[in-house]
Order: sequence, then C-alpha cells, then structure tokens
Amino acid sequence: MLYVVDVLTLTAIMAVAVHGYMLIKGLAGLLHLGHAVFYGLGAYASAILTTKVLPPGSFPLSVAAGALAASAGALLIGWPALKARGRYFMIVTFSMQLIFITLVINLSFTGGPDGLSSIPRLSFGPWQPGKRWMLDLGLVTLTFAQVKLLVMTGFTALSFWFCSRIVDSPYGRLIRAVREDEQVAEAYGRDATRAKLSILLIGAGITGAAGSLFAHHFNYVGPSQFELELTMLLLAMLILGGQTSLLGATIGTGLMVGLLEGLRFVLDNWLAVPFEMTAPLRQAAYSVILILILAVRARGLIPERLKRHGRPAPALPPRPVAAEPIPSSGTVTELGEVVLTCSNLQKHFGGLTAVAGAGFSLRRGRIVAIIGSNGAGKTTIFNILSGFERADLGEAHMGRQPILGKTPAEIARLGIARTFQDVRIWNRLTVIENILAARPHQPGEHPAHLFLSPGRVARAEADNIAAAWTLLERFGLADKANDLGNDLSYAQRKMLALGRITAFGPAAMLLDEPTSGVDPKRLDVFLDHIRTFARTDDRAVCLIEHNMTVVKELADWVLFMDEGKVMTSGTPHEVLGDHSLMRRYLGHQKAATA
Amino acid sequence: MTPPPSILPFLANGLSLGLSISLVALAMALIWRTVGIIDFGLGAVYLAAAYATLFLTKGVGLPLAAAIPGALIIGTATAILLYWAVYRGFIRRGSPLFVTVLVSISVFMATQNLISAAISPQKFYFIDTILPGITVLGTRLNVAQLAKMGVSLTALAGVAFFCLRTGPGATILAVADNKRLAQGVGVNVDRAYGWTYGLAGLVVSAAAIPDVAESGVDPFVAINPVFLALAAIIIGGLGSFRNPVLGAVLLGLAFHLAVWVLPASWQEVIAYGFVLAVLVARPQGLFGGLNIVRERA
Amino acid sequence: MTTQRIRPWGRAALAALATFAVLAMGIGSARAADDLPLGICQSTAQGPAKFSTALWKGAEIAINEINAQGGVNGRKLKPVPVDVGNNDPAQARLSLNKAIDVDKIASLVCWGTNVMVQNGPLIDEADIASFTMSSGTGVVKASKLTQQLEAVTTLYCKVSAAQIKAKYPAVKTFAVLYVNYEFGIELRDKCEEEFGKVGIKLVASEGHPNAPPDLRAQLTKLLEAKPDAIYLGPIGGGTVALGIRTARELGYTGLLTTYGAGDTPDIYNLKLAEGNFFFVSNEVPATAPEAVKTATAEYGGYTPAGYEFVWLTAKLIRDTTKDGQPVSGKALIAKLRQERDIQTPVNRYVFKEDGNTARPLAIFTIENGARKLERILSAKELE
Repeated sequence: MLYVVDVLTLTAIMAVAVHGYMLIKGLAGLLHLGHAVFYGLGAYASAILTTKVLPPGSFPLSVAAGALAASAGALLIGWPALKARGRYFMIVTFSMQLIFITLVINLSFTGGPDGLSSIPRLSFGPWQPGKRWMLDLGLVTLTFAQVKLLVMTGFTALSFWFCSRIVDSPYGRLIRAVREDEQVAEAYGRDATRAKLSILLIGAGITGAAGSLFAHHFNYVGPSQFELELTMLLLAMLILGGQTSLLGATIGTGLMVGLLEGLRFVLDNWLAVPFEMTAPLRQAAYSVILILILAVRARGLIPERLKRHGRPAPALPPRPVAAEPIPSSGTVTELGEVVLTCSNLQKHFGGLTAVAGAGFSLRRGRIVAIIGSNGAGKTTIFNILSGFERADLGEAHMGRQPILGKTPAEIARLGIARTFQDVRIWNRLTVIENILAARPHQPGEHPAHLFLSPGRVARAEADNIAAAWTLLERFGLADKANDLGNDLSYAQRKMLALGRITAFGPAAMLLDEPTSGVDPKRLDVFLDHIRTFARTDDRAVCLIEHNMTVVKELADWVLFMDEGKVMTSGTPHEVLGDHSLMRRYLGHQKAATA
Repeated sequence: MTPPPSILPFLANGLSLGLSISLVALAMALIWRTVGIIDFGLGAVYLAAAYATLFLTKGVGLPLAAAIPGALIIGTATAILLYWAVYRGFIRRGSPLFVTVLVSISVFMATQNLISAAISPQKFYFIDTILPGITVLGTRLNVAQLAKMGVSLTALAGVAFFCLRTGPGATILAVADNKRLAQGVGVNVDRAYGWTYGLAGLVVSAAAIPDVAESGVDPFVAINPVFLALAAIIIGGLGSFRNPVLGAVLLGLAFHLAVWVLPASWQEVIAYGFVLAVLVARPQGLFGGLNIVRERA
Repeated sequence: MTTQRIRPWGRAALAALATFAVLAMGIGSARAADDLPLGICQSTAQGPAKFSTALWKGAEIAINEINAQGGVNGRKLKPVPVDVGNNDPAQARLSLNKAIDVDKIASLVCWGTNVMVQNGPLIDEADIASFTMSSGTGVVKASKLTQQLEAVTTLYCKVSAAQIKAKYPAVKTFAVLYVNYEFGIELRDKCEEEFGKVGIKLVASEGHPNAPPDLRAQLTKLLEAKPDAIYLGPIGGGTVALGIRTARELGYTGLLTTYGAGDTPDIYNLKLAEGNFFFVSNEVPATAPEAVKTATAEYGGYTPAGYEFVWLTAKLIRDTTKDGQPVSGKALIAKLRQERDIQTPVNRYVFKEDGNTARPLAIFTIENGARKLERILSAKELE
C-alpha cells in the first residue's frame, strides 16, 4: 500500500532527525528548541544544490552537503550561544526557529514562500530511477517507493549505529560528564564549550542529512514545513521514547507517527465526528494527548542505558590500600620541589573583600592546610587558583607558568586539580565512569579519532579501564563500579571525589574540605588516602579543613586565614597551640581541646 | 524617485503596535520570572477573553461597556483555571523547562483547534463601524489603539502598584526573587502563583479586547500577539517588569520604521533581524535580566 | 514518588496506543463495498479554514440529495476528509495517500497552489479525477487530471477592470496590496496588465506576509501615492476585512476591490464593506436549489462549488458507466472535457481541454449584512 509505505518512509527519515536531537538534548543536555532549523537547512541545501548546481545522480553528495549545511548553521548559532555559558542557548535556538522561516521566505534563492520543486529523486551515479522503476528480485517485485523505503530504513540503521558509537565512546562519556556538571569537567582539563559545540555540530549534521533525505523523498521543500510545529513534534518524539536513549528516540518517533495517523483513522473513519471538525479535532486531540503523556510519563519509555564495565583479568595483584608505614605527622625533613606559588592574591565582590593579599607555596610531598572561619576567603583562593574566579590582583605560578587569567581547563592541564566543597560527582555516570572521565589524555574523547583511528582509541580505553579498576580497588569502591553516582552514600561520594582527582593525576591537589560530614569512624581511611597522595604519589597537597584533628594528623604546614588575609602560618603545633588565636577562631570550648 | 514619506505616521503606528505587544509581553514576563515557565498558554487566555467579548455582545446582547468587565473576568478566570488544572501539576513535580514549554504550546494549540472545531474558523466582529479616532502625527489612531496604549501604561503602573503595595503582590515579588527563601519565611508559593496567573490573565484580557475590537475574533488571532511578545522579551530582557515593555515598544517601532523607506515585504526580516542582532550582541536583553531564566534541560 | 505505580501503567497505555494505531490502519481499510467515496480537502490554516467549511456545506447538500435518490448506480456517496494542514504539501500528501489507498476515493476537490502543484503527479499516478478551487495558473499545468472549478487570476483581474471601467469611470489609478507569495505576485502582475488594458495605471504596490496582524504600514505607503482604487490580493480569510478596515480608518475614501477571497461571512458581517467596495466571485442564480442558496448566504461563495463538485462527479460516473467504460480518473476527466459545455443546477461551465475552465463570475457589493449581486457575467462572455 502506497500509504503505509509513505508513512513508514517518513518515519524512517524523521527517526534520523530525532537521533540527532537525542545527541544534542538527551546526551549533551542542551535545551535546544530550534531543531527543525537544522532539518530545514539540510533540506534546503540539498534542494538548492540538486536543482541548480549538481548533475543528476548525485544523491549521496547531496546528503553530505545537507549534513554540512546544517553543521555550518549549528556553528553560526552555537558559537555565540554557547560562549555565553549556555543559559541563553535555549533562547537563541528558539529565536532562530522563529526567524528561520522569515529569512527563507524573503530570500529568492530559496524559492521564497513557494519553496523549491522538482527536487530529483534518489539516485546514485548512473542509477537514476524514474517513478515507475521496478526492482525484480525473482520472487517479489519491489516498486520504487518500496525500494526508497528500504534505502531510508538503511539510513536510519546507519545513523543508529553512528550515534551508538558516539554514545558508548569516551567522547560520549565526556559529553555526559559535561551535561552532568560542566564546571567539574573543566576542572579536570576538558574544554566544555568545545565539547558542547562539537556534539551540537554532529547532532545538527545528522539532522541535516535527514533533511536531505526528506527533500529527495518528497521532491519539494517549502518554508511551512520547517516551523515551530515541527520542532515541537520532534521534541515530543524524543521525549516520548526517552530522551537519553537512542532506542527510545527511535521508538518514540514510530509511536508518535502512529498516534497521529491513528487519530486520522479514529476521527475520519470511526467516530461520527462532523466532517468539518475532523481536521481541527485531530490537531486538538494530538495536543491534549501530548499533555497527558507528559503528565504521566515525562521521562519517556526507555531510560538511559548504562554501560557496564567488566573487570579485566588482573595482570598484577591488586594494590593494597596504604600498605607502607605512614610517617608520623610533623615536619618532613626534605623539602620537595616547589610546584605552585601564589602571592598577593586579592579578590573583591562588590563592596566585600573576599581575599586581601594571600600567598603561599606548595611543594611536592607536603601537605598544607588552610584553616579559618567561614568567609575567610579560603574557597575563594581555591577558586582563583583553579581558574573559577578571576583575581583582581596578585600572581600565581605553576612551575614557571603564570596561571592567573587562564581558563579552568587550561590550568588543570598544567597540573592543578581541585575537589569541591559540595563534592559534585557526575551523578548519572557510573562510579567507574566518574574515574574514567577524569583520566587525562584520552584519544577517544575526540570524535575524529573515534572514527579515524578506532584501534588506538580501543587500546587507550582498555588501558584506561584497567587503571580505573586499580583505582577503584585502592579507594574501596570496586564493588560499586557499575552503580550510578547518584546511588552512592555521602561518604562513598567523598571517597569517589578523591579517587577522581587521583585519576586525573595532577601535580598539585587542592582539596576543599575533603572530610567534612564524614563519620568519625571512617575518618582514618580518608586520612590515609590523603597522606598517600603526598608521601607516596609525591604530589603537592593543599587542604581546606575545619576539623582540627585532621589538620593535626595530616598537615606539614598550616595557614590561618581571617578576613581574606593569611594571619599566621607555621607547623600545626605552632598554629594550633596558639591559644588566643584558637579562641578567636573556634570559640572557648574548642580552644581547650586544641 | 519620490521623496520618502514623513516618518511621523510610522513612529505613531510603531509606538501603538509596540504598546499593544507590551501587554502580552508584560504578562508573559510576569509568569516567566515568577513561575519560571514560558507560557504560550496565554494565547488560550487571549482567545477566551476575545470570544467572551463576542459572546457577551452578540450572543447575550450586552452593550460593550458591560461586556468588557465580563470578558476581563472570564479571561482572568481562564488563566487561573489553566494554572490549577494543568500547570500546577507539572510545576510541583519540578518538570524541566522543555516539558513545560511543550505543555503550554499544546494548551494553546488545543484551544485554538477546539474553538475552530466547536464554533467556527470564521471571523466575527462586534464593532462593525469605523472606530472613532483622532489624527495625530499625520496618521489616524483609533480608539482601540489609543485604548491599548492607555491600557498598557495603566497596566504597567497597576502591576507595579500591585506588586509593590499589596500583600499578594509582595508575595509575587518575593517568589520571583527567591522561591526557596520566600517559602522559608512562610509565603504560600501556590497561592502566589495563583495571583501571578490571575494578574497575567487580567493583563492579557485587557490586551485582547481592544485588539479584537479592531480586527475581529477568529481562532487564530492569538498567534501573533504571543510570538511577538516573546520577541519583545528577548529584546528587552527580564531584569525588571519594565524591560519587556521597552522591548515591545522597540519591536513595534522596528516593524514600522523598517517599512518607512524599504518595501513592505522587508518588514518581518528587519524586525526579526533586530531580534537576532540583540540576541547575538547582547543575549541578556538590551536592558538586561534574561539570565533569570531557569534552565533545567 | 509514585514512579513505581506510574511506570507499568504508563507503559501499558503507550503500548496500547501503539497497537491501537496499527489496528486502526488495518481495520480502517475494510470499507463498505457499495460506498462511493469522494475526497474533500480540509485545512486548519487561517485563510483556507474559512472557505473549506463553505465547500463542505455545499457538498453535504448534494451528497444528501443524491443519496436520498438512491445514490450513484446504487452506491451511496461518502465524504472523505483530506487534511492538508496549514496548506502543507507534505501533510497533504500523507492524507491524500490515505484517501487514495485506504478510502479509495473516486474524485477529489482541493485547493492551495502549492498543495495542488506538488501533489499533481500523485493525483495523475493514482488516476483520480480532481477539481481545484485554487486560482493559481500553475495548478492545472502540474496535473493532467485536474480541472479548475475556480477562475484564475487573469480572469479575476479582467472582470474587475471591466467593472471599474463601466461603473467607476473616475478611477484612473490603482494600487495593489498583495500577499507576498507567488500567487499574490501573480495577481499583482496580471492586474497591472488587465487594468492597464482599460487605461487604469498601477501607481503603487506593497506586499504583506500571510495572515498579517497589521496592515497599517503597507496601507500608509500605498495611500501616499493617492490611488483611486486599491486591489486587495491576499490568500484569503480575515486579511480582506483587515485591509478594508485599516484603509477606511486611515481616511481612504476611494474604491476597494478584491477577488473571491472577499466572499466569506467575515465580509458580509463587516459594515465597513458596505460602501465603495465590490468583489468578484461566484453567484448562485435564482434557479439554483433553495438549500444551496440558503447555505451560500450563511457560509459564503464557495458553497455552490462544493455542491457542484459532488454533482459533477455523480454525473460523470453515471455517464461513463452508461458508455460501458470503467470508472477511472482518466475516463471521468475525458468525459468532462468531451462534454465541455455543462449546465449544473447552479452554473453553466465550459470545461476546457487544458484544465482551465470558463465559468460565470459575478460582481457583488455588500448590503445589509449580506452580499448583493450587481451583475453576472456568463462563462460564454468570459471565454
């Protein structure tokens, strides 16, 4: 039946567009309300090229051109939108959707309001079938329409495969990490804006290809086909199936088309609806059903598929936790290499002075603790050093490199990493993925490498996974490896944060209240880990702490900050033994126990 | 080539169109800032007020002066009803922005199509004659336009007064500013939202009635006001309730000044090009504040 | 939350929906064998939605009449809606495919230049006789089996020009306010030509988007050129009314005129249209069936076209089967063009070989909330 074939063909084409939408919205979490624009760019590019420029038989080239046109459009839209830290992304894409049609109608090479007709059919070089072309396979004869359906379904399968590769890859993992918490991704050396832009371009490209397919299927493109209505339909398809699942996106497309066509039958053929009401009632019914679906199940049918990582066969026996004798707290006799220095840091927020001239240095193998009451400027210093805040004045160097004014990702790549006061693990990544996503130098995080050098990517990933398991063992999280970050207890999250920063392997570690809220019974494990960072891994460690026991146990050097300045510094014994200082800081009761 | 016509009529018309858009923009901004939804469902409220006026004048036979308060009440009630019956559930559940956008657009589309099916897609008028008017700046402004201008300025002042001087209005401001804090000090957020929707509904109804007095009532009359209102908010920003109104005026001027020297077919391109330029150069809106959009993708 | 409770219910509901959709497609194809389905387009777009109601009302009268007399060759006529959405050719194609494949329509009446042009090849391939109410000249060129029921732009302009020359001799200049689509541009160009032939000069023209909220800018510019008459050329729907109101408000006292787009109750209800305004459209003569006359007064000038579509289809099927030929689109259209000069209960047409049709047009003004016939021009006069 031509009708069923036509409906299925359109479904196959739209599924490709929804795959692209899934990458942008589901995988990357970008709220994008202008998807029909990418579809339209692809369709129009193909239409214009094949009706005016390209010779017959150039269908594959046309599809590629459509993908490119959409990606170019995404670059134009995405670059300013994403640079403005993504909040405006929704507004920009929505406006583009509203404006796109106006532009298309008023330009002449797009055919204006009447669109472009006579777009050539499917063809491939010398194979240029006419409408009546038949494929005789002996047992069955396929019409052109049926062959076209097979071709389009083939494209759907191809885009499904392509998008699956992306979702399952280290690049996909990076995108999800950026989705979960973009700032943390930057803190571990990843350029979040570039990642988001790249997935936007890829998603747009796939959608543009779908638009091309549509142009060649329908042989006509016109502005009324790419309006807000279509974006909303694609969004509904994505949501219905489950926006974080590629399979969901595909199924959602089919279900939505089924709903719309089913409504046609219900209203036209079944219910005794007055004739002139059938068209508007169908639209109304669709809208109402959509609201109901969103009310009942906005999360969609199929949830995000989590990749389970198996433990590789161990080449070496697992590394025991903190096997070596821990040197007693106190001074380290040998001074390690200076890794990070900062001086005269100043930061004002409006009328408030957060940091008023702070400075210190961090050396390999040494643990420095910064203490002080809330609002003393401690976290602000960490933010400045890791690039999340801009200092008003001051200097900081990593080795010989100045770091102030660099982006967080750049600073991280120089070898500084930090944890956050509010932990901030990537909630919808699994525990092992949290580790994997933090490990540096992954070729698989670049989409180009993913497809051009898959062997190298696979090998690097295998190494990565092995190293990640080792780390999980070290931090006691191996049995939680494939659990969602969300499902961990508070203490486990704090442990994971330590594991993650270790995975990144920085020379200087800034730990912001790593033990706060941890059950005192478990404190020792944390202390052992932190001590190992310095003594065994030979890193420069800086802690912000409120727990004086921890400070006494761990710190080689203590800085006391108040009102944005380093008031005094010295060994733990010196600083914590200064009773008047402690009274000032802690109040009477604690001074007695310090 | 004939010399370009006087700019004054275009300024007058532009200002008039701008103030007309500003009412819906104000209502949309009110909801956006307080509740955090981009509410296209205001189109349904617009239609409710429009058809209510039609029904009360032509159906029931009331004089226009009596029908107007009735329509205002019906429009306001529709807005509150939509909040209770539809949006509240989604808001309570913390639905992400894209879900509420889809829901509000669906409400709008459903209303439009249901009216088309149940009543008729035909256009009806309740004022058949030329509206009386005055000639100013070389062009004629009729009472509907003047009413719209007056109503927008009144509405702006009224909303400001309501929010700053009354109890319920203060709760709206509080929730708009910081919902958790407001809850913390005992503000009933649900009721504040109810007030917000009521206020927005009233403003939209006040916009709808003079509009349809001029150009008639059919199921499709709400499309332009709603989308132009959104464009106005994008241009003006959301920093204070004044911003979208200013944005609307600029948009109206853009629509008309564009045509002053260029052929009329450029009207939409120039006006939307203006929106685009603001977006690229100053995404928080010309007067700031669009970053208050809550974004939970 | 209650996700645990919702999840199985939600899934079940959605699965049911899917099954239902699939079943609906299958079951829907079981159609009563003795029905004679006729495809009638419907639209949810602002302009066409208005006259699609009129078309349907006219068709309904004819269907009821013919079925009451036993149908066509014993088969009852059954209307099949073909939803063309927002005059969207892609949407139209889906609906058309369903109507052809599943409902097996015998003939079609539809409109929308793009809709008809893009689906012309489909109509030809499916061998469906189709009639169009679209004024674009390109429509019948795109399909061999499509016949105009409507006058094309050239004809409209010609008739308007003649009327102005005869009844409004003081008019020497005119302006055009047209929708910025190919159709509107064509209308502007044809009118410039036809009006020029009778000595009326085009002094200004401005385009507007489809269904604009506001025409002040365009009309202000047109009025600068001080035309004696303004020709309104939108796609249809409320824009004519908007144009008339705005023009009068801005102080324009000259002549306003338009084509069939003015033939809707929007305009009948408009008091402002009751002076210095006429439009060219389709008349229902006194000899037409009462029901058609009443319906036209209520729904507008497209009502008789719906009636005539059904009547013509019935007649052509009867005539074709009488000849012993199978009923196919080709056969029906061939018969139509062979018989050529046909008098329906409402109008007399001349159906030409190339798909164009000479049909009577009439000039109307508005008086007392209804259209008032000024003059009829028969098909022969306009051939």
